[in-house]
Amino acid sequence: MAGKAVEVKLYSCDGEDFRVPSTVASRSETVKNMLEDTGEEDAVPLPNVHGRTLSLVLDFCKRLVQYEKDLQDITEDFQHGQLDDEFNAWKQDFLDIDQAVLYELIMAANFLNVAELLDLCCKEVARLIKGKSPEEIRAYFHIKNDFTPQEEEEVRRENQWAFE
Amino acid sequence: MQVPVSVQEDKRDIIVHPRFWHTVLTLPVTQAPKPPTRWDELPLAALYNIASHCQTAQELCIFGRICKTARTAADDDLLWRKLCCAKFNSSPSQKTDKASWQALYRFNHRVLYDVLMCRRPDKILDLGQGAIVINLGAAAA
Repeated sequence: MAGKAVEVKLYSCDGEDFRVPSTVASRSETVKNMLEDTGEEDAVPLPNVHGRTLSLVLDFCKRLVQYEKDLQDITEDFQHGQLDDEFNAWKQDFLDIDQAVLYELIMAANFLNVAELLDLCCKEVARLIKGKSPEEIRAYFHIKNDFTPQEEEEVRRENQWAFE
Repeated sequence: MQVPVSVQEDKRDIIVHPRFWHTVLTLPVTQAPKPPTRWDELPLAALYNIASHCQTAQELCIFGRICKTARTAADDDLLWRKLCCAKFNSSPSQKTDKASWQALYRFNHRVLYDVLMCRRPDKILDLGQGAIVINLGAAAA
């Protein structure tokens, strides 16, 4: 592997290209494997990811790499909490997006295999559905109810114990 | 030669040189407003991940009522194991082979709320043969 300053080129499905340090791009397991196969000189095409989503994914990867680097550099223990707080605040801002973008991000994080991002987005979804009824959740995320009325009743009855 | 249909349909006639008829034939369709993003196609890995962030049995049960794939994710016994260990202090070795962690959770839940909290002490008879008395102590703790 070459030095840390190596830049790689990524192509989104709409032809936008991104140049990022290979340390950042490698946070995606998918990209990392591709780079190992083809070498870091070749541009990596990402046919499943739209440019605006890829840009968000890379923002996240950059911040994550920065956070990990900062963690290694600290000399005092109390700085650890401070870095965590900063990163968490950044994540809060990052997640200030509408649900269509959140969906795109989950799909991209899943395809690109960025575990930390997938986890962050899914946690956000769990936060969003908290306190809502199944009907409200379906309406909010535009999900089709594929249960028949009988099945739905059956599931409801099976789960009733948790609400007693 | 016939005038392209798309031109005829337009109420206001426009004059198009025959040489450019082909450009009117493929008039760009006016963009329909973007339909809302549907979450039906969410990959199972993401659904498992979301389910794993549910902190209570109620949340998990509601999650499982959204749609069939969500149900599959919510029924994952590893999640129930986590909840069982967190809430009832069960240890992974405590479970017998046959019952699922979900069943064990349900059992503990009933013991705790119906029997130990004395709301319906008679219900101890309803618990059936799956009753694993060894967990009574854990539930009480």
